[in-house]
Amino acid sequence: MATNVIQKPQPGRDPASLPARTLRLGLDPLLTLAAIGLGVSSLVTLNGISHTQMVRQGVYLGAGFVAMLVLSRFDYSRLRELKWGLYVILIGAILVVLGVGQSIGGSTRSIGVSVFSFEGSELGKVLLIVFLAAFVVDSSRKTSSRQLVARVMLLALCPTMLVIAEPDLGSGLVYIAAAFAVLYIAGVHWKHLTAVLMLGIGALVLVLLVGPLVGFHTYQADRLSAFLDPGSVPVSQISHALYQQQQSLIAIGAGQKFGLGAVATHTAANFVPLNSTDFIFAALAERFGFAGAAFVLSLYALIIWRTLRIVAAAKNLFGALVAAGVVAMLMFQVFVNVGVAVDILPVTGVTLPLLSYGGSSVLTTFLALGLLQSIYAQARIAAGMKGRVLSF
Amino acid sequence: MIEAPLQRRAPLPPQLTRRVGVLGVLALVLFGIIAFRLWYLQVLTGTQNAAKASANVTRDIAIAPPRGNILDSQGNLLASWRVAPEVAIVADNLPPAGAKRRVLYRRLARVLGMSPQTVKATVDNLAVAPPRYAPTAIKDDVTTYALDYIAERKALFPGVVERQVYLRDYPQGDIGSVVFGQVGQITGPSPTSTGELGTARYKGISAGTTVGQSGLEAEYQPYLQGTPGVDRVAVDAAGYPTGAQPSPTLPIPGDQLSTSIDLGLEREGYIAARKAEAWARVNHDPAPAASFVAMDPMTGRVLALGSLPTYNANAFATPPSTSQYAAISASGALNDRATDGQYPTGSTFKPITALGALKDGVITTQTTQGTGACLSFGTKQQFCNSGKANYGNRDLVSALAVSEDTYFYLVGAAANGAPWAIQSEARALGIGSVPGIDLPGGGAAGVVPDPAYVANLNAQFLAAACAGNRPRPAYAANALAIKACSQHLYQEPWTIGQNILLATGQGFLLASPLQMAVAYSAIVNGGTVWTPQIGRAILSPSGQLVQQLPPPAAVRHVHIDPTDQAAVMAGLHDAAQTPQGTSYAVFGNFPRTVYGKTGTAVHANGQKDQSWYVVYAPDPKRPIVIAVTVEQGGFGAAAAAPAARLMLSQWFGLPKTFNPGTNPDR
Repeated sequence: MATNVIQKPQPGRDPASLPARTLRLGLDPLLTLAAIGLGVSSLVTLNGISHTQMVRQGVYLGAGFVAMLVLSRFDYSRLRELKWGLYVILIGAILVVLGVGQSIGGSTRSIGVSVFSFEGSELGKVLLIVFLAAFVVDSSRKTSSRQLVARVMLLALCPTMLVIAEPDLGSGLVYIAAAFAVLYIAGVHWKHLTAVLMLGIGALVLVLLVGPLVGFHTYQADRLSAFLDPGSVPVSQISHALYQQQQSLIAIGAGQKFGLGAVATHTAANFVPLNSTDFIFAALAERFGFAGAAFVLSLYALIIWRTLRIVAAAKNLFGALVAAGVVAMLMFQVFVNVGVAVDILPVTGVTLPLLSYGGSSVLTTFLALGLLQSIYAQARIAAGMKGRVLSF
Repeated sequence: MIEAPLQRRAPLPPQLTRRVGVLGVLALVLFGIIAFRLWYLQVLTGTQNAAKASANVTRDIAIAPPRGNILDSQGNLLASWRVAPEVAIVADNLPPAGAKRRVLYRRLARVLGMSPQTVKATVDNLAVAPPRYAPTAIKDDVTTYALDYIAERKALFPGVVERQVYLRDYPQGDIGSVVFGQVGQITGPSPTSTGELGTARYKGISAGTTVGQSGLEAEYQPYLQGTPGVDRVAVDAAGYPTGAQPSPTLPIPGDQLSTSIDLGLEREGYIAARKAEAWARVNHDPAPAASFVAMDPMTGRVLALGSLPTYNANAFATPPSTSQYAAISASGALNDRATDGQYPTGSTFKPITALGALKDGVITTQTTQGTGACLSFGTKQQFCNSGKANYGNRDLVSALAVSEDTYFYLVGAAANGAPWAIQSEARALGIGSVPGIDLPGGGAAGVVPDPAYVANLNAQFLAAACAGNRPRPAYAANALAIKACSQHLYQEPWTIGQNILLATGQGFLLASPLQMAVAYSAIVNGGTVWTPQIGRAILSPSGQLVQQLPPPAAVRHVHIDPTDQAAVMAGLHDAAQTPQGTSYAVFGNFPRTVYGKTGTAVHANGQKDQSWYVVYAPDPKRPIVIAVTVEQGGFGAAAAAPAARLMLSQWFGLPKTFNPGTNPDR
């Protein structure tokens, strides 16, 4: 693909004299195609819900795509030096949101900046991944595996706790998943990883099951209880979460093999709340059926496959770790979002990358993809300079 | 796509490849789980969900059908329907309760010219309101200005919708209102009543529906109602229509009711009753109310029935405002005096007295008696002829003609005791029991007094008003109650005087104009007491016969000896059309043979006399009995009789003249 890009001859210069790599866009073609495919799917799905949202999403996707192109031209390795700066921005963005943010549906997730609101926790995903990757690379030779695990988890937990306090449990869980993936790919010992896993599960149990008993914010716990045992929680408290999933199931099921197309009124008519964001998968599945849902899922599979290849091919550990964080983020979001929509997971507010309506989510995903493109490009350049050709 | 040769670069940490592989496997497993779940949801169980989804997005909104017409015997429209604009509120689409909703109510109320409280009460009346996604009528017959105002400012009126509805239409205005009755929104349970919702007559009718609530509208409700259509509207989760409107099921109009009412006679009845009232007022009688019944004595069919004061029946087609309703109700126009008015009948009762006395041998047609202006029967009270006239001894025919009270006082005195000749004849002819006309309730029963009745009256009063020997607190200041409680008597026990009064249609006797028409019909038809009936047939909306209603049933056949009947009829004819007769001034020059009796009922409570007239006009094809009464209208010949003449003139197509008499008979 990249070889097919046509470069216009520039006057006064012999194109042949330029280094070959500068002629190329340096993008992973399949990754790019999959991202475009998802963007188009998003627009087509939103078209059935809200024309305004579709138009805005088009703008977000365009801007995000440009951001990805720009980011892909930079060498991601330089970000390593900025790690503490990124961390401060990350914490700051979340704190600002907590302090002055708009409250939507009971949680504070975004700061309104005149025309659009920005969710700090979304951007935080990419910032945290880059920071953790850099931290691991810088510390891995100096500290023991156990210490590294402890420090990384602590550094990840700070923003995690803050976003959970917003409360945005979904993003918090993405942070943890990303941190875990960074440690995992960094080669941390299985024992330590298992310990972290157990600690994480313990913490979750504490927050969700014990928390309510001592008067902690209960809505996440309610959702969990409602999911595990629909009869256990008073109707007034669980009805919303249960309702979302029931309606989502009806909508998805109604799509059947090939979808209802234009008469897919169930999601479009707002029976499924958040039909353009957290439950856009239900809208997609209703309109385009199993065929459409499977197509979109295969695009995600394609992205994840390409990302795993990028992890393996990165020119340095930093690149591999960043890519690992991104793959964890994408996998977690796709699986949790779709899992909620098809009622195999309790309701958790996680967006479906590139598909869900929303500037922050789209931009964050494209920034992550931009990093992947940069890692891909750098890996190819590095391979080329060593006289090797990278296979992807 | 990339140039050869392929060469794998060693990853940085040694186990990285394996770990990436594990991640890949994990991703595969997760995608597999989701794919299976989707397959299960969409392919294996998708049809069930599809049904649920479509049920979720449609709302069935009932379209009220037009009510069936009510027709007179010639097919003229007595009640019809029309299409009118309505402003309604879809409760689900209102702004949340609070300031915004109050502002909306105020705004809407101002545009529609009603009070915000009324708007709120209508919407909040959960007992009778339709489902919250369906429109609740706020006001019908909305002006074009108001409709335009709302249509141009839709954003200011969330939840307010405009639609076309079928409204009841009464082209005759205030003619026959009590016969047709009222339509209104079906009532639900309230603290004071169980309401109509769910009762037998309104079976299967849902809340918010307009139904017939009185008169023929209620009596023939199941036929007239029609079948609602269904507008299946696609809505979003918030209940807003989404535009996609699958074709509605159209409502089926109600069937038409064909009646035996003659519109011309009905209209003339109202005109005549009004003229009678007006004439009575000229004579300084207040005449606040009047009523009339005309029926075919040979078939039992009601030809006209009306009551004054009246109201414009259209007031109820669009629900009247509280003040409008209060005004109509306070005027007394909602009472059907023709069927439910209970009055002493005065001398119009004398033929009944005569027939009973003849049957039991109290008198014969040859008996002559009654001389003297006043009679005393060993009582303190003197029983006198009207104006203390002395008509001398007369036979029955002549006594009826001049309405000689003393003759009938003697009959009453002679018949006081078993077998109670007068009472049993009155009961046989339908007085004292519900006539059973095809209107809700069937008409008032009235009273035929006898010793048991007075004893019961005493017992009831004592039980209600006295505790031991003392009046209950509510009656403590009532002199009558104090006396009654101490003496254990509210009314004197039955005396001969009661029977004497009854013989002339006074005392405790109470009967409605309808009952008098039925009784006279029986007298002239040889003894058949009809269950009077208005409805004749049910026709489809297009006019096809659906069902012939059973003809009026005979309650009983009273044996009337032809000789007795002939004597009474002769008396009635002489009363109307011989110079000595009480209503000769009214009917003396009437070009047809009529049999009529005046009545001037004295009220005990100081009110002016009640004017009565009951008349029979024979005809091979169109025989008719008419009973007219004017409350506080003076002499029978003065108010009621000329009204009856106007109606007869209309019925037989004769020139109409209001021809009042002055005979002060009883």
